Amino acid sequence: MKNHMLCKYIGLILTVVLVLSACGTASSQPSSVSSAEGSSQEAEASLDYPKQNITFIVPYAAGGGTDISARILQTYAEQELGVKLTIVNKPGGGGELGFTEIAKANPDGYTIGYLNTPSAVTAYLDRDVQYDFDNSFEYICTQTLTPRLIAVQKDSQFDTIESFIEYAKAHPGELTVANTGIGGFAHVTTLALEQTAGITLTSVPFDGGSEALTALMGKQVDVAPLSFGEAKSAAENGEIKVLGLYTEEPSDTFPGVQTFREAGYDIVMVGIQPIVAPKGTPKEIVDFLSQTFEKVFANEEYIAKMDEAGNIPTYMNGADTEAFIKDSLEQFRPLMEIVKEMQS
Amino acid sequence: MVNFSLLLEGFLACLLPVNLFALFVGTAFGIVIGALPGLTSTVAVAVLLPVTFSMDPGTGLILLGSTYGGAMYGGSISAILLNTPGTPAAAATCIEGYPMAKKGRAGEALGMAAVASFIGGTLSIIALIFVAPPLAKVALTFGPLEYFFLALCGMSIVISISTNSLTKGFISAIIGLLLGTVGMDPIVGFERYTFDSINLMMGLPLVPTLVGMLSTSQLLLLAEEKSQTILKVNTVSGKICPSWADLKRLKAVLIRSSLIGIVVGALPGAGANISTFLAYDDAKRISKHPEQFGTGIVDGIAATESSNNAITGGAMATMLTLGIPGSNTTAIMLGGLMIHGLQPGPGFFTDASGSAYTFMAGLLIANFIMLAIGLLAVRAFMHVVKIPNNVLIAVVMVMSVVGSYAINNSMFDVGLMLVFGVIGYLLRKGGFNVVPIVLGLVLGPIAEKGFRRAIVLSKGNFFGFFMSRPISVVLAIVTLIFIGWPIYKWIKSQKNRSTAQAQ
Repeated sequence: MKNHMLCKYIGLILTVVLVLSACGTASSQPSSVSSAEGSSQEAEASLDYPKQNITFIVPYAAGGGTDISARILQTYAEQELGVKLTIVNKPGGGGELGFTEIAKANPDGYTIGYLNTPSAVTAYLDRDVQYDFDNSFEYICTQTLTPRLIAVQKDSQFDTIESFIEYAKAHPGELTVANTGIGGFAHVTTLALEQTAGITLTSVPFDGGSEALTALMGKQVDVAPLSFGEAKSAAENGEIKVLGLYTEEPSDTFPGVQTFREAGYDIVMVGIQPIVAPKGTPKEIVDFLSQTFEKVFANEEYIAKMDEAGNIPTYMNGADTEAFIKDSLEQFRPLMEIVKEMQS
Repeated sequence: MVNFSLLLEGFLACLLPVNLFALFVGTAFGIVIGALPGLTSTVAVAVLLPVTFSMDPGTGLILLGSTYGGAMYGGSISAILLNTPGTPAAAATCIEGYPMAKKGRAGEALGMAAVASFIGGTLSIIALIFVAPPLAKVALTFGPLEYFFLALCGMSIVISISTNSLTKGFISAIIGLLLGTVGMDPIVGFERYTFDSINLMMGLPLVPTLVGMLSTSQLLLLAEEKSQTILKVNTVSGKICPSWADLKRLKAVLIRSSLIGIVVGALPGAGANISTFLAYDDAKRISKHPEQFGTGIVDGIAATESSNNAITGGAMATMLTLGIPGSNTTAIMLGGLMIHGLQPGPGFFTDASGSAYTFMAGLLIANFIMLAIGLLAVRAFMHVVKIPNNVLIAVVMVMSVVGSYAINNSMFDVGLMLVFGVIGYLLRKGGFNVVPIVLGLVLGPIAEKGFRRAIVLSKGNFFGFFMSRPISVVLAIVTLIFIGWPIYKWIKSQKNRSTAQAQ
């Protein structure tokens, strides 16, 4: 009797463990269904790819904004590619761990993943990382733009960028701003603002956008530089007021809100979510993926889901992506010098 | 205000076969994942998220919500049977649950866990339906200084659970606080104790450290024991379901612990880890026999389990009303919500499609399903304590390794788990309780960040800043009482002992 029950338990536990590892992550098995969609068949005729599942590295934790973009991509890309896109979350070091994983992966076209600006750029400028932008990656395309904006409390005295900056100039250090981590996107955005407008704000660091948003909504701080995605539903619900956008053009997502350029301050803070492969991945595969993703990004259902999640879906090809990243490098270099001084 | 007609429609929608199926699968899956050490509710919900993309919004949300509740209960199963919390929220359940299991009363413990989880979950969903907006508004008023005092309150529990040696309890707590400092300094970004490893830059990952410190060390201790099984007595008591008398006696505990769970769960970021310990401490304080706590009584389980399931309603209240996730799990659910086109905010509750109400009705029904599954499964589970230790250790070790790897796909985490397993084992052999280490590890960063941010916000006038915030003042007084009272009692008992000796 005792042995019988024992076997039952062992069997049950082993089954559960096996089921879980099947739902799991890094293993890529050859797909038994090899027939691809008709459209990708022409490219595939000369290119024997993809033959098995592709691993997609997301350098952030499951459930975050980036991870969600990846899962939306996965749903629609799998239809086009005919194989599974297995998402592997490799969070750590603010993304650095994941970026390094991609750089060091086998360049056979079966491992790709996200870079992120400015995180990949600021990490590179701030400390010794194990990648760089010339020798580590092949740039496939860009999936989303992540522009920044500045928001204030919902019943704040400020209605325009100008009134905010005037007050800040007259009362240096009085206004508190919720940043997210030293060297993070919000922090360098604030630094750029302080430098360009000649103001001084008191910086309160939080862990991530949603904490900063909470602090702003709870009136713990006066101002917060947020991403579009973070601010979107709070602004629509009237919980916060969006003061200005750090984009080149005004945006439909926030109608009626000035850009900083319009207000006379030339600050553009837009990050991108590029998809890259390790250096050495064959050009045909990179091009194939770029074209496939371009098709996916044009899919209306995909666009609708990305919009809902607060993203700005776009498509930039590999060459433009590389150029954008190199520009970011120059844009953030002086700002990171200031950050490094603060840390020493 | 609550729209009762939509709520009724929501209940009816839940009775659709596909929704009932989602509720059942979600709850069962959640319980299983919750029970496995290392796999948390976050993992369970993350795995199911892509599955929900192709579903109807209401069904998808029901699936995720029921998984969340199921996982919160599931954590108690391994906490009671193996002294290993299946989810960090179940860490406090180990304190009472495991001693009960050793005495052959695992069934009773598991039964109380199921019922308490049910009560906590149901109360919190009712709170969600009726008072979510005010609850969320209260949550927003908690700023950095309030979090500091809340964390301090939580730390004061070390005193109450260190029944054998206060000094060793403090040392454990300090070890925990030290471990909590690993990573980047929250204000300046200076790297502390990272040994230049990217893996440690964001601090010690909670789950592998917890699994190692609590679970693996327990396995090592078990391996040393002369007895063949966890069960130390001859028979396993058949009693499972708590009697009405028990429940009536524990009425106050259950309600108070649920309230603690609802309110603390609504606070973004603080969540599960603080509320269960606060509830346990509260139950001990209002109990007529506090000295029995720690030896294995159902009172403690009633407190911790109702509290951790009550978190779900509170966290979701904040998430749905303000769009701010209260915990990692709700962060994923928030993503799921938005992908299904549901906008969190005041509009959520008036959304004409009724998906919101289907979701909330579904959560209520899921609690019943969880109670049913829980009570039925207990019959099988309670015999785990009779499995020979060598088999048990091997199986749990495998599960722990898988669990530690699963979250970050990192062998580094597995290594960390093993290292802390050994450290935990050595500490326990030395008579140190590892629970204060967990408290220090989790609450230390919350306290530090809260305090340092408060200093920045106070701009040089700290006392004025403090006095201008009523919640902080109240919490500070409460913390003083929590710390002062047990110390006062201890001093009195020392005096009584010396006067008794003198006589």
